[in-house]
Amino acid sequence: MEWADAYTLAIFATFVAAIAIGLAYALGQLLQNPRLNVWAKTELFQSAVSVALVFIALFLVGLIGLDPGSEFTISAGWLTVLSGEDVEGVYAHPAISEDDNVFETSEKYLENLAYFSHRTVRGSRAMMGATDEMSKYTRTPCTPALLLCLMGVNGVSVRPLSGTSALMQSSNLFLYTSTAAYLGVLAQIFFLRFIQSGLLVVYLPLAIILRSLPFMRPFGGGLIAICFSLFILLPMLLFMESMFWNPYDWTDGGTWNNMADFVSDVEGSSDELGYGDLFMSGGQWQFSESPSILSVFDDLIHMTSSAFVSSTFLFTFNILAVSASAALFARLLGSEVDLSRLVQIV
Amino acid sequence: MMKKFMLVLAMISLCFAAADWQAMAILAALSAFMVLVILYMLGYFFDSAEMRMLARTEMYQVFVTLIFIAVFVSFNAYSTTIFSEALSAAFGEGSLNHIDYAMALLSENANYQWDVLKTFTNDLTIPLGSMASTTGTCSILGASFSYPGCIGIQVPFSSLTFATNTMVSAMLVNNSQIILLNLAQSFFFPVLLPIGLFLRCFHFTRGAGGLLIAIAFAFYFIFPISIMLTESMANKVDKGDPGDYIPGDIKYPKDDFASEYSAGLDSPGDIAAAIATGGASLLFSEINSECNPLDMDPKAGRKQAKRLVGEEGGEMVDSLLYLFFIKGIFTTMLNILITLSAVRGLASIFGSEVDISALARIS
Repeated sequence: MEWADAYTLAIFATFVAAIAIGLAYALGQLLQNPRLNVWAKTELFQSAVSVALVFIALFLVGLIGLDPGSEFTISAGWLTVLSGEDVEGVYAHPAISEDDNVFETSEKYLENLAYFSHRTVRGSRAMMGATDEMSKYTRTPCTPALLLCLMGVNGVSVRPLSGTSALMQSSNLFLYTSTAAYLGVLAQIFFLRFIQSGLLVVYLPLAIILRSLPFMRPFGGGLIAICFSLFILLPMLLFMESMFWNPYDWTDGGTWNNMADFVSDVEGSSDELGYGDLFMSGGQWQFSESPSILSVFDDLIHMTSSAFVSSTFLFTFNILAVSASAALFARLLGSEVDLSRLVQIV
Repeated sequence: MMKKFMLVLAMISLCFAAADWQAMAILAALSAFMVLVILYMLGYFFDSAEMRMLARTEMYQVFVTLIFIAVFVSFNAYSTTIFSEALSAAFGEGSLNHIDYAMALLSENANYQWDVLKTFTNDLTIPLGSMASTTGTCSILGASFSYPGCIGIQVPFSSLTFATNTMVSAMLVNNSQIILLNLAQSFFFPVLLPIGLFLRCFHFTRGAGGLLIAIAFAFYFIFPISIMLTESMANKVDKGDPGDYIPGDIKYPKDDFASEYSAGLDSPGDIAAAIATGGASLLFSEINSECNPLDMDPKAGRKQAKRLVGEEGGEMVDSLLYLFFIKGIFTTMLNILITLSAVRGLASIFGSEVDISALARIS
């Protein structure tokens, strides 16, 4: 079913409902039954509310870009106007175009967050690998020197960087936090795609039909509240965040480049390793190098904090805002909805 | 119908274009008022007392929103004028508002924590780990005997590993607070507050509006003030004279707190360079060894543990525990709890009923 058909169906349904209510009212007059008359009046009011909801919902669906045939669609160009900053220059992974609708903009914003979180995950993993390798270097003596070594190893062997195992264990915290952030962003991306795939086309008409039935009104009202809050308010919140919150702004170029170099060096060296290689990938990132592994560790702390707030914290916040909206909207429509449990997926 | 919607949308964009949340908020309240007037008139047209009553109730909410706007304007004016002047006068900085000050406190904390972690890692963790790994080996004619005589040092080394984890956790939460302040300053207050005020004017979006207002207000005002209070409380604790340690006192680690332990030790950089070049003199120069595995001293681990915590048993551990566990992690939890409690209370005042404990849990 196309969105344009929904308008026709809504008008048709309204017409049918009006006739049915009119007949009920006429019957009430004929039978001198005031309860039937009151019921018909109430239903007329509720039908008017349903019709208003249909048109508001369809308008909003068009506005956020779910209906390709919509005349009025909010695009990312609005963000340039609202914030005074060129939206096309804000992100690069991928870049947002001014023609993108709410869903496309939100998804690209999330993809940028995912790129950021993924860089942090890779950095954490590389840090664990590098420090683990460093901690296992073993120097075995050749004592007494020269040819006498051939007789056997005598003396004291040592793992000089064994202490980096403490950093390796701490990197677990980075990996855990950044992975949760990364997965949280991916979940949001897939959720947006789930909505875009037509979920609203199924749920919203069903909700409106259910709300038109006298005994199913609370259930229908609840579904409408969920549809409105989850499928329209959430993308709108992400749309606003895409312009006014950018984790890349709070990560200076040095940090970002250090992390990129570190990850590519460690991962690149690992790929080239062969049997019998004496110097492992982590060896390139000793303490004396510039940037040293400790300064990369500091960069990792900054990036992990940023990934956590941008992905996990804001995701929870968005779901809470949606939950608050759904609860009150549902109460207005005569139903009880509690979406706060959704935050548990975080 | 479409023209009316376009008009409303144009008003919203106009408000944002003004880049001024006060103008946006007032226009939002006026837009809501006009919509309600139309609803009231429709109530007469359809002879619906219910519709008229709804419109009257909602108009009351518009006036409440206007009062909120006045309160926020006052708070903002207070923070950028009187409070800012007091902070500037007290700390000799120009134009310092409460967010700037809280951010400066946290940044100072972060820098100090980072310096301590670096020293701790370079001068304690790495050398101690290295010492713990030493193994004496003797082999002759294919038969060999190995003795990890310093393995007992693994016990204090495990404590250092735990301390490193705590330090990193403290630094993560400290940096997260800085990011949250940035979020409050650049997104919550200037963007979400006007949107929240606008949404709050309409019944079906009042829940989301109330929550947005509560979060914007709490993170912009309560959170930084809470940071200032907890930091000042933490700094007031008597940390004693660094040169005159009394058990039970808390003091910051001295700048050279690790040097006594690692005196004469080659730096990790030198160790790394020596490994790369395979220097023959490396073996014994890399450890300022009080533990020689060939001595087979069963008390080696205990000796190092005593050096680590000091003769009185608390010189370094107390101060590190205070710096990172109390001043780093505990105060952050306190700040978040205070802020979220404020969000909860304010949300119900602004008309939103939602369980925000999820934010506390992830924090």
